[in-house]
Amino acid sequence: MKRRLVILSIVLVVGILLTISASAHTPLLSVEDNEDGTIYLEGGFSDGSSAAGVTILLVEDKPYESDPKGKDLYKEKLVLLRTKMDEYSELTLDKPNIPYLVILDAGPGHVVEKEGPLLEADEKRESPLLLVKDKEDGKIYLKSGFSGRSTVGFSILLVEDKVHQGDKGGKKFYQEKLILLEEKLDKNGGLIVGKPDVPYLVVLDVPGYVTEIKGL
Amino acid sequence: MKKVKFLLMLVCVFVLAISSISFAHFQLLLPSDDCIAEGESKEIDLQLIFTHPMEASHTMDMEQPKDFGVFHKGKGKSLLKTLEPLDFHHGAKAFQATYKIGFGDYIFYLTPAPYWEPMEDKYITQITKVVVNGLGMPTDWDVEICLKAEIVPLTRPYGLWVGNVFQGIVKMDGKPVPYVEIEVEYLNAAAFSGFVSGAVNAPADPFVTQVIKADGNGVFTFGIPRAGWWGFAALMEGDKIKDKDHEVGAVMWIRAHEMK
Repeated sequence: MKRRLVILSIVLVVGILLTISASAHTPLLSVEDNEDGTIYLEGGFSDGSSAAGVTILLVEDKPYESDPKGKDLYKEKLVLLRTKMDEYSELTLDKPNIPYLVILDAGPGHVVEKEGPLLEADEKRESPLLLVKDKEDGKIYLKSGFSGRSTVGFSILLVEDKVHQGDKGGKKFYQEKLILLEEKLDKNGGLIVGKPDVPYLVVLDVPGYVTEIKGL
Repeated sequence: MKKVKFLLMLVCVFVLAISSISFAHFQLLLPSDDCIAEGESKEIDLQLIFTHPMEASHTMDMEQPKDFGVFHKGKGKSLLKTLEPLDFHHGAKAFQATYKIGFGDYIFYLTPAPYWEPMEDKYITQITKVVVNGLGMPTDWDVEICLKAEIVPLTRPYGLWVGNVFQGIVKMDGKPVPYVEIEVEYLNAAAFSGFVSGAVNAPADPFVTQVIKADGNGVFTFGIPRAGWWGFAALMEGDKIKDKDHEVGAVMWIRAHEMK
């Protein structure tokens, strides 16, 4: 019991110290336009400390007016991408094809919002490629990427290939179709998932580009 | 009468010569800004000039520098190939470059070619650095970048108000230099431009070059009295060149802003 108390006290003290050190410094964010369809982000705090692991959001730069149910919203705006700064406090991200904000969210009172550089006409690329392969063991292999670029970290949805008519409680939907599965692509832009036993669509949701194909 | 005139001329030449050697040579490594804020251009201009910054007098010709580069987030990068010639102040040979900075501190450093100063019968090499910050993120300003002679700042060398003090450690071959003498000069920019007003006038010679000494740990302190660029030059003895003395300087530039 005493040991538990000691551990609890240490956790509390460390927690308080972390809170103090985080709140004493201003978060900083740099958004560079690589002019190749991507942006380069660097973050940190005014005391020189790193922002590694701090949440980064790309959000649509207008209030989301459709049904917010099941949607990831930030101040009533649709979150296009939710990720974290890498170990070097940097990130390179694809520009969404719509006006957007870049947000570094290090907790209450420690948020930086910046307008993201827009995707120019000469930077627009083809939609990302999406490949579905039947592994014939009840699983399917999904692979995705732009030509020469990966789509690591973006979401793949398997959705029922019909508008859902029944009870909608506690379920997630994509364009009124039931989401059967939602997972992020691995570091190679690939994923192996179980094959649904109903007709389905595979949806790759990269901000600004949504690719849908029929499942096998 | 002719003899008197000749003697008078000799005296004048001698006085002028003495005056010119009493003012400090300073290697400038001058960026167009010290702090790049949000929305400002990230492209900065750099000027490499060897002159007398307070007197705005004779500017020396520079040869092709031995090294010129930038240090950022723990990595150095040579910028020698980006150098372009610059004719400065009545045609003295100098250099210029442009560089696009990003997020954090950028330490620009310069090792010029040794300058032969016949008046002092010695070579002079002033190894110079200056720090430019991008978007307020401090990353490298206090890092020792292992120059032969170097001022390692103890005060963050940007975002300074008039009245702040600037502290640094003078190092030679990585070791602090106890009680080393440091010359300090103000960049009298208005005097260089030739305007009739705006320049700072020194009431007497000792005001031109301020002189301070480091303590036993090589640490020096200077209170900044005026807005603008200030140069610090710690002068030390280096290895002889062609049997001639070689003065090696650790130079650093900082900029103070008026608190309005």
